[in-house]
Amino acid sequence: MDLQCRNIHVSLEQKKILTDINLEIKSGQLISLLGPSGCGKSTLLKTIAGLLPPDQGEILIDGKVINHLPAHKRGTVIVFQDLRLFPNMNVEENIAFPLKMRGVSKEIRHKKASELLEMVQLEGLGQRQITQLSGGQLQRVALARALATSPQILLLDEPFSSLDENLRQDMRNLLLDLHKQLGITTIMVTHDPKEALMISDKIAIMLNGRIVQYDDSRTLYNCPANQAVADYFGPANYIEGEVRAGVFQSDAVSFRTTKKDGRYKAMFRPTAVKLSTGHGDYRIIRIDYMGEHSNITLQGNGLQILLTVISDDRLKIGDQAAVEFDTTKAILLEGEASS
Amino acid sequence: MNTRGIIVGKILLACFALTVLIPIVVILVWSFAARWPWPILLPHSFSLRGLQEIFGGYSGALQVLGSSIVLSLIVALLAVLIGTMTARSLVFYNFYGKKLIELGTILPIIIPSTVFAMGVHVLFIRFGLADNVVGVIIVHLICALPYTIKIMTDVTAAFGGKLEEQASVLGASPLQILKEITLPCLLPGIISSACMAYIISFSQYFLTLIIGGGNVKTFAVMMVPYLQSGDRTIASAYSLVFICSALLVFVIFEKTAKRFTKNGSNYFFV
Repeated sequence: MDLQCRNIHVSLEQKKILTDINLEIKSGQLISLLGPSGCGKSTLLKTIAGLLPPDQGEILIDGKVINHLPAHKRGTVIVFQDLRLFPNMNVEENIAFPLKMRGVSKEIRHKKASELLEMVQLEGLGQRQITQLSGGQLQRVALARALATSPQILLLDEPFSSLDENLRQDMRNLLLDLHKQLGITTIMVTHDPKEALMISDKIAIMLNGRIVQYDDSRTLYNCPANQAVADYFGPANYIEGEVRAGVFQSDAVSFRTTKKDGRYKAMFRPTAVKLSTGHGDYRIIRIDYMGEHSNITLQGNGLQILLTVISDDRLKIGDQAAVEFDTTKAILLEGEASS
Repeated sequence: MNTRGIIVGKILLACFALTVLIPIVVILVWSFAARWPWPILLPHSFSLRGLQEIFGGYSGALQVLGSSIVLSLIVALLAVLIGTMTARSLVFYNFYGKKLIELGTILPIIIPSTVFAMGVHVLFIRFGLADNVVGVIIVHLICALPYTIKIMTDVTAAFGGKLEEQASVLGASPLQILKEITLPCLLPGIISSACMAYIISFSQYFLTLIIGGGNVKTFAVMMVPYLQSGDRTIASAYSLVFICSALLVFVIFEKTAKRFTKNGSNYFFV
C-alpha cells in the first residue's frame, strides 16, 4: 500500500513536535526514519497509526485520506520499542490477539498463530508465558503479533535497540526476509545510521521535527543536503574554499568539480584521506587504536584532519606526515559559514 | 541471602503471623467460654450462648449480617467504579483544578470522621438522606473513596496507557480494549480496593449510627454495644462471624473477578 504524509504538523501539550512533514512511500518499500532521540520520529509513527491527531495535514493510504479513521480501523500497526506484549496472555494468545478482535474462530486463530510462530522461528513456544522468553524471542513475538493483523503499513519503532549486536543482526535479517516474503510497506525508526543504510530502500533524516532529507541510502551518504545530515553518518573533515571556473580551491586541496562558482565546504570522510609518513606539513596529535583500524588526528595548515588507517604500531604522536585527499570522494556542501 | 538472614526472616514472619493469629484464637476460645477469669489459662466452663445469640434466630443477627454484607458490597462496587474512573482521569488527563481534586480525594483521611460527621449529618437532613440506607451508603463511600482512588491511581499509573495503545493499533475497539486489556491489567488493584472499601464500610460504626439514625442496622452497629458492655462471649462470637464473613467475601471477590477476566495469577488466595 502506498503511504503519503502531506504537510503534517503535530503538537503535544502546546509544544510543536512535528513541522511540515511530507513523506511518500511506495507500496512494498522499507524506509527508515533516522534521527537523534527526541527529534519526533516516534511521534510521526504514532500520528500515522492514528494514536495522535495531527494539527493539520493529511495522511493517505493508496490515495485515500485516512485522518478520520480511528487507530483500530487503519490497518497500520506499530511494534513499539518496549514491545508491549500483553502480560495476561501467553505467547499464542498474544499473537492471536488481533485475530480474536476480529472475531476469528479459535481453531483458525490457533492455526494462524502456529504459522506465524514458524515464520519468526519460534515453533512450539506458543504455550509459554511471556515471562519465560528471552529478549530476542520477545522481539519475535511482537513482530509476529503485528504481522497477524495483516497490516497495510508496518511501523517499527526502534525495534532492535534493546538487543545486543549479534541478535540485532539476526533480527535485521529476519525482518528483511519477512519483508521480501510479504512485501508489506514498512517504516522503521532508528537512530543507528549503519542500520538504516544497511536495510532501507530509502532513508528520511529527521532533525528537530522536520524531515531534512529523504533519499536512497547511497544518495544520502554521498550527497548530504547539509552538514547536519553529513555529520549524522559519522565524523568528517570539512575544508572551506571556493569554486572558480569549475575548480575547487583551498589551502589544503584543489580539484575539478562541476559545481557553480561560490563558496563551498569540501567534505572528506576519514576513509577518503590517505596518510604518508616521514615528512610533510602535518603532525600527528592523537591516535585512537580500535583494533584493526586506528583513527589518526593530524594538525597542520591551520586544519585538523581525522583519518582512518589500518593500524600500524610505527605511527607515533608527534610524527610529521603528509596527507593525500581522495578527491573523487569529496563532497561539496554549498555556501555554509564555518561551524 | 545467607542462612542467618533466612532464619531472621522466618522468625519475623512467625512473629507477624502470631500477632494476627493469637488474638483470633483468643476470640475463638472466648466465643465458646462461659467463664474465663484471670489468671486461669483455660476457661472454667464452656457454653453455646454465643452461638445461640447469633444463629438462634431471636437476635436477628443473621438477617442484619446479610443486609450488612449487601450494603457493604454496594459500597465496594461503587467505590471501585468511582475510584477507577477518578484514577484514570487523574493519571491520563490534564485539566483545570486537577490538584484541587487530588487534594479533595484524600481529605476524608486527613479530617477525622467524628469531625465531618456533624456537617454531613446536617447536610443530609436537608437533602432527605439522613436516617436511610442511601445516606449511609454515601457516607461510607466518602470514607472508602480516598483509599480506592489512591490504590487505583497507583495501579493505573504503573499500568500506563501503553498496552491500550498497542491493542488499539492491533485492531481492538475501545470496548474490546476495556475488556481484554484494561480490566485484566487493573485487576490486582480492583480486588485490593474492593476489599479495602468493603472492610471500611463493613466496620463503620459511628457514621452508620449518626447518619442511619438507628433505622439502618448493620452488623457493626449490632456488635459494638456487646464489645462495650463487656459480655465477652457474645462480643467474641460476633467478632468471629465478622472476620469469617469478610474473608469469605474477599474470596468471592477474587473468584468472581477472575472468572470474568480469566486471569491466571492469584492475588490473595489459592
